Amino acid sequence: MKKLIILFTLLNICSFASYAIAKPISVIVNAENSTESLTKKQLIDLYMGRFVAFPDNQTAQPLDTLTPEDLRALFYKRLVNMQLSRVNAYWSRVRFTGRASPPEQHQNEQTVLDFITNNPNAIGYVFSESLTQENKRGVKVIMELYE
Amino acid sequence: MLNFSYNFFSDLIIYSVKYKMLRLLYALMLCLSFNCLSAERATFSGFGNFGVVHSNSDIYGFRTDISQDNSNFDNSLDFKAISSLGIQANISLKKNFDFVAQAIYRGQDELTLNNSLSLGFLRYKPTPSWEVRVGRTQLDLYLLTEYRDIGFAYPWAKIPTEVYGLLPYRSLDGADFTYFKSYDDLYYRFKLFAGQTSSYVALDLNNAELKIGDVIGGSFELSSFNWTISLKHTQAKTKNNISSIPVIIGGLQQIPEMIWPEKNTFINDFSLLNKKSYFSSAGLRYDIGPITLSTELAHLRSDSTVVPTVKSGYVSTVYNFDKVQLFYSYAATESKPNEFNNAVEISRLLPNQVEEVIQAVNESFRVFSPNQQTHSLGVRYDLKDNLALKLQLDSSNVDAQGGALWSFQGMNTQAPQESFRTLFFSVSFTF
Repeated sequence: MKKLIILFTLLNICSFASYAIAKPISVIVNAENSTESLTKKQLIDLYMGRFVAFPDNQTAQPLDTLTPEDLRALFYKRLVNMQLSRVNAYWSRVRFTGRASPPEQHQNEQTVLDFITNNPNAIGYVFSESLTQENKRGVKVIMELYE
Repeated sequence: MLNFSYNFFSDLIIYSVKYKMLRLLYALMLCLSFNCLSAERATFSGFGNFGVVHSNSDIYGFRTDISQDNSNFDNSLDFKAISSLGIQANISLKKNFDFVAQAIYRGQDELTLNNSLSLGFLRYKPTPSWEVRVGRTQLDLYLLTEYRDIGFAYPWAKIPTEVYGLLPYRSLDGADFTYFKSYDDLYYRFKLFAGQTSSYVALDLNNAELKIGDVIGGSFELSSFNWTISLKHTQAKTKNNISSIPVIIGGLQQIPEMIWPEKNTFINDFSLLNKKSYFSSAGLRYDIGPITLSTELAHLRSDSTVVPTVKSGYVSTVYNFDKVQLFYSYAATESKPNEFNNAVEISRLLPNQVEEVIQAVNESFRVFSPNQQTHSLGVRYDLKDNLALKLQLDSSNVDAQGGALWSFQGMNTQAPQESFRTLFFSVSFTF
């Protein structure tokens, strides 16, 4: 019986973990932004400070979302297949040589949504499940990142 | 609010190239203080590297480059060689301008604004495709020169000394222009820069300032998702002789032209004054699954015979786990110092008068002439997203008379061959 309980608990943990990993992430911009979609390479250019502009050559303002805790790590893992420490190492090369500044950090998904709603050039990311009819009124999804 | 005109911008460029860095900074700060540009957002960040080095050599002491003191060492722990601490301010301004300032402490004996300011520039970026920076920027000579003091930026405990040890310069007072292009799967970056700089070179008994001016350089970077190719070339004129050379030239001038007809040509070639140096490098970085390969070849030559042609390079492979990086590198540098061809003949005719001068010439020919090879093995562990521990073991072989990159007490011409090990441990972080 004890073994069964342990097995059941382990299965639960595994299924929860895989659910967390599989959660899609929506890349969002202001509803008025003319960008309808981005390729993964364009998103990498934007978020790694290489070419920080939308396809119509308008300067972009990328945002990072600090909470939920796993969102930022999952976003970069899916985008460039790197742990956050390696992303930070990359940014220390770019930032401290004065080439570019890293994405502006926002505390949570709601502040990211609010900022993008009020700034036509901003781009950010949230868990897709966090978008509701109400909070996604001023934004639009241009890309989804999956595992 | 003043309108930024073409004249203002060109004045800044002229300032940066013609005048001292501090005057330019003063002009920039004055401009900011008069609110001709109002700050929209300011962010502050920093980096640090606390490291310790131990070598089992009794002859050669580790130093990251030839600007670090050539001082006595007692085979104990060195806490200074790879340690640094920096802070940076990024100030976003209106009208496509921003200002970046960075100060760094890396063991300077005396901290001054000039030797601690590593960045201090005003950037104008009207479109995502190009930008101009005016002020103090980092000197972009080889692949890693711009971030050589930022330990968190690379997996090793220190960058390969064989390639970077001969470069004492950190920053450039001047201007640069960069053009970016993203096309299909490729990303291009072209950069042109010009300016001047100076640094100290640690000699046996003293530290000598060596200024370079008329610096003109370019770099080209082509990258895709998992690889980057980088090509760089810079040329610069040495603006002064290091302290011992005028004394040696004075001694050489005493030798009668009758017994040494090539004297004037030799002295002209020997002097560093207004001689051009040429720095070239080609680098490649390639990610194959969890493995990152990086390699760089560098070439340095000068119109002065004091600086020989130096070929150097490294190849490094890093295996990336989640929080751990294991690495192995091999680096080598090779140079052939010039020879005083007429020395035997002259010393036969004037044995007592010229012995010391000839010795000093031969010594000078070896100040910038390294010959060594190093195997490195190490590990980086990311304790947190912005905190890493690094351990690295180097096994180096220094050829006879080839220890220019090390702290060495004695005559370069009598420096022995030695194989030894150096252990590095560091804590690197950003904030």
